[in-house]
Amino acid sequence: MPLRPPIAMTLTWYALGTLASAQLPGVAVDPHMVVLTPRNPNGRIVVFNPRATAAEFTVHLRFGTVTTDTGGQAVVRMADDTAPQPAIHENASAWITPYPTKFILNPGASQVVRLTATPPRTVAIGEYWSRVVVRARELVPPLSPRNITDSSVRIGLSLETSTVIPLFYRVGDLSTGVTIDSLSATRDRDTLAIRATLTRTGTAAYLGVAQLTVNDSIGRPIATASKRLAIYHTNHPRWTIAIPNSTRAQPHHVTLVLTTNRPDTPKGTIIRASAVARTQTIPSS
Amino acid sequence: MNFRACIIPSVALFATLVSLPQSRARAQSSGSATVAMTAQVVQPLTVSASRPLDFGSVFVGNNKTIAPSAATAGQVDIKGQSNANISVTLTMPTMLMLGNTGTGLTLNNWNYSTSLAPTPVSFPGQSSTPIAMTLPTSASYGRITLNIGATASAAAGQTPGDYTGSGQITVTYTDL
Repeated sequence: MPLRPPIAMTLTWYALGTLASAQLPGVAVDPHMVVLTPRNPNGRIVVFNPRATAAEFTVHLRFGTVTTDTGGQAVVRMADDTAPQPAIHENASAWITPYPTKFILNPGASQVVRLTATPPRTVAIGEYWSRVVVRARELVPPLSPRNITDSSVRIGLSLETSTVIPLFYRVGDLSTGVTIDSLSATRDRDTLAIRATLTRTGTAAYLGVAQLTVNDSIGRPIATASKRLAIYHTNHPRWTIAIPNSTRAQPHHVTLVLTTNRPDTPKGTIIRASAVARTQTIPSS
Repeated sequence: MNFRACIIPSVALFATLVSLPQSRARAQSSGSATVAMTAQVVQPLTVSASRPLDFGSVFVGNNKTIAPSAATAGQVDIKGQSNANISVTLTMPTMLMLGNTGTGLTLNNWNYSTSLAPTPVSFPGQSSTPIAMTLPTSASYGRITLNIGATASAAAGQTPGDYTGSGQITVTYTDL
């Protein structure tokens, strides 16, 4: 049953701009994460059609976690759509059921999708993960009707768009934390490239913030930065931070502080952990 | 992850009047109640195809390349939280099919560019390798336009007709 979006979402909606006119699919989902528990095994998301034409939407679950690529950039690695779900202990995809899984939305319309968790009776204390994939595809064929006398080769490629949100199923009293196993930095003119190895501890994913501070040789802060991050196992993030040109020949002290201060998430969804910090000195060049 | 300055997650604060759902309102009084609430609004990630990858007609025995910078390149608009890290997966077909005949037409040389990095980057068509991107910092929301190009190869003796298929663009935040 199509529903009106919540007021906050409507505000966001107008901020995102007016509806487009091309006959192509688009998708938006609110909220941007879902947490279920044995006491609250039912959740819901709202799927929106931001386009000016109707589109078909499908909803399914795949396993996926945040990791870092070889360049230290955060990416979400998802299980292949066409392959069987991986037999990973934390994989909740098999026992989370979305409803409805397929529907058509008119321009600007929305649809509530309910998510119900039915875990095995033997499910152990811990956190289980999945990703809700919402896909939009156009209703009309990519090519206009063919003239019967046409002897050409025509190509019609449809573009389907998907957005993905994380789902957490939490059993029992969970904890999380992170250790900074290594911290290094290299200087390239007016930029510092900082690399860390971060390993999650406890029984749940670490959702937090990395705060970086660069101090000069006498301890004055010369650059700061903050970035949200998620650690499911071990990540190797790389950050770059600009430093004043006048200080680039000096030694620098880089401090990384990790906290679970995440006001961007719904209240009560973050598992708190103590802050951890580490400082690394970069000798003068 | 690139920091140019002191970057604090820029989340707009909205003071919003929210009508309580009936089930919650019941506990406080009969009928509905309206309370003032302050909440952080996180931009939902919106992914919209704004232009198809349009090869038009292709001559038999010829290749046709659409560069990401071309007016007929596929185009996808991604909007979300300012300065947020996102992961983009492009899964494109390497073969388009002529109905159910089993006859195919090859697509290769896939590449993309973005509104932030106009130099084309090649990628394997049927790839599930995610690409990391950061939405630009802005007072309201971050936006990236993704342009997609490829080469279509109509072999000599290619059966005339309509060859169709679909590609997928999947986008997600990487901080949750």
